[in-house]
Amino acid sequence: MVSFSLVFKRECVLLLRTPQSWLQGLLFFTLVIFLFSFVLMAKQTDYQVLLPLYIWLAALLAQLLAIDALFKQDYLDGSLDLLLLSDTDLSYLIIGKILPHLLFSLIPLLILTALLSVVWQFEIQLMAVLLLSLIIGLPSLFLFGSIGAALTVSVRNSSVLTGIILLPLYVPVLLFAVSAVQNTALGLPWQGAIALLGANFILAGILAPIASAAVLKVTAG
Amino acid sequence: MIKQQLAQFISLPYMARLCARITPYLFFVMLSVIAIGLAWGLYFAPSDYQQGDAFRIIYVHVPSAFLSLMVYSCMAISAALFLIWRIKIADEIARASAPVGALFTFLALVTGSIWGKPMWGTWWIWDARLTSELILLFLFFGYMALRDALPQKIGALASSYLAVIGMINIPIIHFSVIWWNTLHQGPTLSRLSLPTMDSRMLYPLLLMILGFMLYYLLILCLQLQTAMRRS
Repeated sequence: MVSFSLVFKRECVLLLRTPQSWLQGLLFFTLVIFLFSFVLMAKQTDYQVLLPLYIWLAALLAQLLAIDALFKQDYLDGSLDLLLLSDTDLSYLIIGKILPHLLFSLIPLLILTALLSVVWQFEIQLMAVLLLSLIIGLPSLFLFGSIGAALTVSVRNSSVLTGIILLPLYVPVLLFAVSAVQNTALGLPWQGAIALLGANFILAGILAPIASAAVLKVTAG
Repeated sequence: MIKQQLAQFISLPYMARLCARITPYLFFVMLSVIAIGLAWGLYFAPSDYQQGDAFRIIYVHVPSAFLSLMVYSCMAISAALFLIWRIKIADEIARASAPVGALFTFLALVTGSIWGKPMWGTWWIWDARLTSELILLFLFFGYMALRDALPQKIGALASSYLAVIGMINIPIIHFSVIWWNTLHQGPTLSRLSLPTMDSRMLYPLLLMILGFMLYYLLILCLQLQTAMRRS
């Protein structure tokens, strides 16, 4: 009997045993950030405005790279069929699958971002808003991303296709997060954008698992 | 009884025959409506007191932008109908809509850029409406790409889900000029209020919108006949 806790534990064990799957994303994130700051070569003042945006962009790209593989291995080795056959509602199981991936990429990302903020001497408020926007924004990316991963689960070399499909769903999240961070850096109110980001997260949380479950039944069934 | 008749009416062979019958009429009506609309809009309508003759691009820009949203809505509604009742013809309509919609979206972006260069002084700006229209273009591309990447039956279902999910973006695009007060001006036409345009400029615009709709209908008719031949 496949249940939520079983899926969650299995996913955690798999991620612990193959750390390269999430470490790669993290490495990609740092690589993009350092390339950006290297290309930028700007003065200290511009860093405060631009670098937080690059952190967000790099996080989004790293997430896009990782999300494509969410259901792929399970589809290939057949364990996805067990999820589909389970009595438990598929959308719960999908949340159980997303959650470990989210934790394993979000927590190191937050630590890294906090470290970078200290290195680049961001103001405390900017750092706080940046971390907050990542905490609220990345889960919605993962939730929306699960729809894209479900749609392209049976396609080989699907990362570009997944990117095209997910771009329209990701843009609002990126937009709100970036405006929150930018407003903070410029000394403007940031609460509105964070609230919209939160609304987006709630929408994704309600809609995405149901949508990915419906899609998976078609594409993998 | 009624159900049976309806089932017959929405079957592909019946619709294809119907389309084959109306296609020539539709073609001539569309051509004449667009010809009259263009002549009226580009030649007879008075020029704008601020923008001069440059405003005349709205006779292509506004209909394309309007149609881009309308075609997407049609596509998403057909996709939903296909998902709920598995009506084959609804899927064919959705499939045929995607390239037309992408074309209208592209046209709206290009004509907007051409108008924007002399008026705003820039080809492109990351304004709310422009950005969301670009997202719409990617939605159409994503739909077509996904459909092509999967086997026929799964592709039809999966891309229908994508079309329905993408429907979230339509109200965002539609209301973006009202919600975010950005560079793009507010809507000129609205169902709930009197038009803010002079009637001599307005009527050709409405005619052009009608002509573009007829064009969409014509393409659908042709595509349904092709689908009939293919199946």
